[in-house]
Amino acid sequence: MSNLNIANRYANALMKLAVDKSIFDAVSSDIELVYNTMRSSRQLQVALCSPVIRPELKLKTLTEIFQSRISPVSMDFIQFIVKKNREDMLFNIVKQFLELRDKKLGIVNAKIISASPLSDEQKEKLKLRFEELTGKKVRFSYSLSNNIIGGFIVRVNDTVYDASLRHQLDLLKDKLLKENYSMN
Amino acid sequence: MAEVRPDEVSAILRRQLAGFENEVDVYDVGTVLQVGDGIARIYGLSKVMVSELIEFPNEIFGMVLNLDEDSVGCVIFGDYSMIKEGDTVRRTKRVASMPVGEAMLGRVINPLGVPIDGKGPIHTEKFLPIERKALGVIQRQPVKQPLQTGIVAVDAMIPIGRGQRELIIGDRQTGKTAVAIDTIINQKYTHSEDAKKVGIKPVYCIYVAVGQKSSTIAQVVAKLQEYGAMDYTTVIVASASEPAPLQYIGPYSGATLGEYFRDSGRDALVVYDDLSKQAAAYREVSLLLRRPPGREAYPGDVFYLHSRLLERASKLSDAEGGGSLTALPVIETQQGDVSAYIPTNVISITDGQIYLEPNLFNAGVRPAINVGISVSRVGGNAQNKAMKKVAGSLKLDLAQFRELEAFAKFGSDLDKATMKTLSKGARLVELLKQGLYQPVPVEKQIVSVYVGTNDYMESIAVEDIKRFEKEFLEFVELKYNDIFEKIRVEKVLDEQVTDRIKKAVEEFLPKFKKTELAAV
Repeated sequence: MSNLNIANRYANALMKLAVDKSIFDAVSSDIELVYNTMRSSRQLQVALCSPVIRPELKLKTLTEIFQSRISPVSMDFIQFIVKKNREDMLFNIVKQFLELRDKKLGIVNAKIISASPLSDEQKEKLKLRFEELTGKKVRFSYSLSNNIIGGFIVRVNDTVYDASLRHQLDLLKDKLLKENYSMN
Repeated sequence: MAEVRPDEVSAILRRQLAGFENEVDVYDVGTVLQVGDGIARIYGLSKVMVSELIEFPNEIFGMVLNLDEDSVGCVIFGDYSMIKEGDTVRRTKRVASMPVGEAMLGRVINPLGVPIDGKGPIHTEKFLPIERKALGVIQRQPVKQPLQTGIVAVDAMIPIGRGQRELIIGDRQTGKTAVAIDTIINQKYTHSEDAKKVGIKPVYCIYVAVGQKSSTIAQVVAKLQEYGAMDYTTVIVASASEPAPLQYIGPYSGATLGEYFRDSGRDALVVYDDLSKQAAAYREVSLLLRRPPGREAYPGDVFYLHSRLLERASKLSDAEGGGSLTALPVIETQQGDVSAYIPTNVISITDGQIYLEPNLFNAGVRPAINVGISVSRVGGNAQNKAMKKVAGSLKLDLAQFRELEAFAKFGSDLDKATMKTLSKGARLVELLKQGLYQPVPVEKQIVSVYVGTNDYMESIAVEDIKRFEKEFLEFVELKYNDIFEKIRVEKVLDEQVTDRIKKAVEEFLPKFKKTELAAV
């Protein structure tokens, strides 16, 4: 069974549990915390995946980090995962959970790459336009790149909306090259 | 000195850029997870279609074959060593397709329609998908027009009709390709004014070379050029050095190009040389994509691989324009084993087979067609009426000859009737021998088979048969040309014609003997 499949199953189980106990908001903010912690600390990820470190030690570490910060249900879930020897999958599981949560709440993630920082007005305009386009709430993350020369690129899931100058120039180059032999 | 005015340059630039709109470009992407051995796994591309073309960096294209839960499996048509993990892949939103059109004639292209003969770009207007569903029952009609191969043994006893699928099967080095090339060369007549007058429609040819040596392909192209056959032929090349995915789609491209001619009401002939190599290429791709192997490690759908290809050969109904696509698939057997997996599959799909034997080939019977086990299941309906009349007794005579041939080896005393059958058989076998790239027009075939089966050659030594046939046909052409003319136009062999042939033979026989004596 693929890793994604396993992560999906655990994430789904947690989701159902949280909804049944109507503590969905609390659990999802807990998981977000776990996700952010793990993403920022590579050491923690490596430690969890390492077969040399004993599970008891991993559990102890996780308990120490999260015990005081997250709800008992979330803590139990982490303990359960470690008990099942799936601690190496923890990162995938929380990632999957967040994806499921976004799907449930009707939120899509969009990455914006722009050549220069966007003003608040521009951001607001983009947000409105993309919410109209996708029919969902859009959560933006911004980054800068000189590579694209000008304009911006928005990526929503697998779809790219490319309004960068670099891409325009590439298209223009293709067009000129292709029509070259009919030009005389 | 000529000058270029700056405003002229800017005018041209403005014209070139006129159609260019700087709108937001929307496309779907994925990321390469794993690449190697001509296949790649891709994460993302969530809306991609099966058999859609996808674009890798550096203008390398691929085709999607597997849609898995968390990845997409695809084959790469090009140099996969240029692709790295993490590269971005773009959808093209069109299924694998190729350009088709008149401009393809006379060209050598790869299975994606890219010219490889160095004669510049091909200007076509239409794109057709490489994989198309075969037509249904309503759009078809039975095969009814002959496709002359120019090979006497085939046209007389294993006739092929336009829209038929006739397998050419045999060991290596038995002249399989030669049969196909002869057939293509023989279609030259159909493009002439003469053929137009007697109502024979031109046949456009496509030769698909799969997994062959580039040198062999170059030879074939040179031969086609030499005999003026390239004017109406396209050669599609997926040579042994091309990646397996290209070899796998080669025959489908050939069928697509053939269908273009068929759908515009014309007749086309496509040669798949050869399908055993295509099956091997497909096996390679399938195993790399981790599809479960079956018998001889071929995947489970290897039958479908060939059946969906050969089903595309068809004769369209008159309502659909009456075009046709004839397929001549080639299969190479190992040690004459026709009961191997791929040969039995293709035999069962096609409408008959031409079986070539190494023993006959080595004994000098060329083309080395074993007429005993070669059959054509539907071509009989399409056969020229005159040919049908003379071929009936030819088949019978040869069958009797084969039966008695074994006895003759004992060298015991044979009765007169047996001796007669044997000597006639030996002469007929000699008559069916034919040189490479020397297709014979159907009217000449009919006359020589008539003469052979009606015992006019009894008095001629076996080694003189070929010379007799050649000189007799020349004689008829000079003095009795009305015979050929009549057969060609009316396509029947009535009493009047047979009387003329009898007269010609009787006049020629004494003369031939004389030249024979003179030669000694």
